[in-house]
Amino acid sequence: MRNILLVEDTITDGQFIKQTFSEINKYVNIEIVNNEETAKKYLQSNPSFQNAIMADLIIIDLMNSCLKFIEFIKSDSNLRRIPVIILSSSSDNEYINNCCSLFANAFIIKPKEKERFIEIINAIDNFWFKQTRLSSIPK
Amino acid sequence: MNKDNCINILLVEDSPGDVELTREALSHGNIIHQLDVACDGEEALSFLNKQGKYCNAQTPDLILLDLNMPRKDGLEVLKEIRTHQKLKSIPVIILTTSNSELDIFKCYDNYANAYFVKPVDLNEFFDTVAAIEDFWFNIATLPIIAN
Amino acid sequence: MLRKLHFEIDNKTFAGFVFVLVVLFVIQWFTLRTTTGLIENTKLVNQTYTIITKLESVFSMLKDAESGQRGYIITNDSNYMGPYNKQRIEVQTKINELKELTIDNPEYQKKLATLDSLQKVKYENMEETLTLQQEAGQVAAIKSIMTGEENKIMIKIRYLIDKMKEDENRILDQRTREANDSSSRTLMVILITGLLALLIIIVSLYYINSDTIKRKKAEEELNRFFTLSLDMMCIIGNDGYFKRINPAFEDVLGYSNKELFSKPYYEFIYPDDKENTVEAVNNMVKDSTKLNIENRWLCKDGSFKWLAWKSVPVGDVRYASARDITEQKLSAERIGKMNEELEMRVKKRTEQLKKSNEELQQFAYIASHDLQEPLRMVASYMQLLEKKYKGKLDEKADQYINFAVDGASRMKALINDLLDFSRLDTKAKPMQFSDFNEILDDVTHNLKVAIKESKTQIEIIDKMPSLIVDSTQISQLFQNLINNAIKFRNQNITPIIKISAEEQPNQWVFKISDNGIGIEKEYYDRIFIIFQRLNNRVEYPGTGIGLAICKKIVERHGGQIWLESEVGKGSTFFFSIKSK
Repeated sequence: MRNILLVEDTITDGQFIKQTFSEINKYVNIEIVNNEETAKKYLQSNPSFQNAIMADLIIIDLMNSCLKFIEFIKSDSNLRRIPVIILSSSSDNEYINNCCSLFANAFIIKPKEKERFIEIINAIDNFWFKQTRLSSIPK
Repeated sequence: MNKDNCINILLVEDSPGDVELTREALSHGNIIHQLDVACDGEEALSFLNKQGKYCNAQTPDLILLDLNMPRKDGLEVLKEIRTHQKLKSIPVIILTTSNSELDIFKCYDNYANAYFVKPVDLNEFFDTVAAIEDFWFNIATLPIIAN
Repeated sequence: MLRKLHFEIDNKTFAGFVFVLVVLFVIQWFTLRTTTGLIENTKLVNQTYTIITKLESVFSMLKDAESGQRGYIITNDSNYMGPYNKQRIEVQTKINELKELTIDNPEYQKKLATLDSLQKVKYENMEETLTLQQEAGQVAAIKSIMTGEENKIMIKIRYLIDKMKEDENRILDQRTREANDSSSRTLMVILITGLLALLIIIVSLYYINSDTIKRKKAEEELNRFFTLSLDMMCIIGNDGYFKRINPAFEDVLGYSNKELFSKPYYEFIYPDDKENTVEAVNNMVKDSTKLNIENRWLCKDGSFKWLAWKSVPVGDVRYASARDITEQKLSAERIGKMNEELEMRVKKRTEQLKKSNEELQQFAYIASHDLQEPLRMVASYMQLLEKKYKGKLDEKADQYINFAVDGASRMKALINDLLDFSRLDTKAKPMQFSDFNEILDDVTHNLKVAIKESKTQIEIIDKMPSLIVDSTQISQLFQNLINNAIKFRNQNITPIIKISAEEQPNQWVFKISDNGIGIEKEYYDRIFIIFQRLNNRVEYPGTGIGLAICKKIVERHGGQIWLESEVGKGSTFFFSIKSK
């Protein structure tokens, strides 16, 4: 069972991603939060999130810059080993560089086409859950 | 990516056999690429810093890094890359024989992008490399680092 | 201090004596009674005779008086008046005496009164006659006498006296008879009770005798025990000196009796133990309890022996008994030392084994781990060769490459299996409560390709329990067994695998049955041995480690694994997992 924390501020996108994942891999559980603060709370196992299980993968799809959030995750000794994938409509090189300089694991430009999006989601599932090895978080 | 859309890959690997395999595997993908090889950690850093014989080297778009190497090992290289102002954003993918949870932990802890264990089976190895190629060159967008 | 008198006589004996005493008393009483009776009787007889005599003398006195009177009348001699007067007084006296003698007999008193009056009358008559003589002369007096008037009275007196004598005699007879009866009765009683008493005395004597014999025998026995006993037995006075010892003392310690009696007991004790012993003994006497103590005693020859004592104070002595436990003590010491040695050896051995085990595990791990690298090279390049040059070289080359590739992949499989096997103990997870339904779910998911390709039907018949296990290993266990069932299927039948579970006291027993090719009975044990295979590699690929891994996993969980099978029909694998 894998857990994805999806930080998604567009409801339709969130639903789409969740839907797609459930079709391709029934062993994936997606928790959607719609802003950075909530995501932080989630990750810090705040009691208001009883089902907060550590995420195996974090996908950030926010309209605004999430550099601070990336920095936050990658400086936390418990959280930084979780792969962070940035989904963004922006293709600004500087932004991409900045994200990667803050050690985001991957940057993906969000497609407009549905098929391409599905392809991307498939690729994420395949690469991160079936190919690469993830660090098992110390309990 | 450089001007002619050719992706530069740096393979840091001490086993020539694995180098050849990787080369072979990469050639099966449909990506135009250039594969540079460093046979240990020192060489890798020299290459990245464009020192000595590597003064004309291209900054790689992707680094495939083995862990068990003589002189400087993979983890040290990773640490140095991640502290280097210019180089820190280069995606580094660990490609090693080690199955050790501890190694996985350390690598992610030091901001490796992904971790792969070299499969024994050839086909599986090819699949692995293909998956890397596919994700990093087809799906994800690589950061562009000024030379 | 007055010693309390202990009444120790046997009850029966005592009863016997009491009875004899009673009998004696009875005899005494009877005798007493009879003797008193006889004495009484004699008295009465005497009395009777006295009365009779007195009565006779009354008559004879009267006769005397009469004679005197008649004599005087006839002769006028005044000498004849002497008796007459004298007897008058005497008669009265006698009658008075008689009256006194029979004072408690009213009948008699009456008779005596009559007699008294008669004699008075007689005397009156005689007086009258005398007076007559004086007045009327001799002839008249004689005439008066010849009338017989005076005689009539004498006859009356005689009759009365005779009567009275008869009475007395009759009474006397009666009394005499009674006395005789009494005597003979008494004699009888004396005889009987005497015999009885004798009998009882004899019985008592017999009883006392046999009792004494028993007692003597018991004493003898005790004495014999005392003398023969190998254990030392003694009586020690409060002054510490031996009062009585048995021969075992000399045998064990070597001292003569003389030597033993000459000093108090503690002088024979090993100096280190002396204080403790004396203190313990004093406590025993003070608290009036039993004492168990082990100590060392000095022997005559200078060595010492360990003795185990039991002692109890009785009155102002102590009874004690001891056993020579020198051998036991030495044995115990020896055993103790041997145990220590053994313990050390075991510890050492265990450490060695542990170390050896660790080294082996490490070796297995390193070997299989480090073998992977060169293996990868061989396998990968063989495969690459195959890929690049298949058909471009001659047939032989192709064949050679095939064999090499095959060899490499088998080696890979073997190494992986070895690694898995060696990891069963080292990489084991802590045991946790796991739902077997979930585990089976994962397993069937993992095997879904094989299941699909072989068109296998898997039926989970029972609901699976949740037990405390290493879920990864149980998963591996199920996976291996189900994989085998799929692998060793019959070619022409749809493979059906049935999985069931049964709860038993303290364990659950799981069943995985298939309708595959089955296994001959003679191989039942072999298949669980690592790398043992029964089939050729081509038809049924596999390293032969699957079941060995299953066995190890089952045994790690405190269970057992076994099978039943029929060749051509199918096999059923059973394994048990402890539920507590």
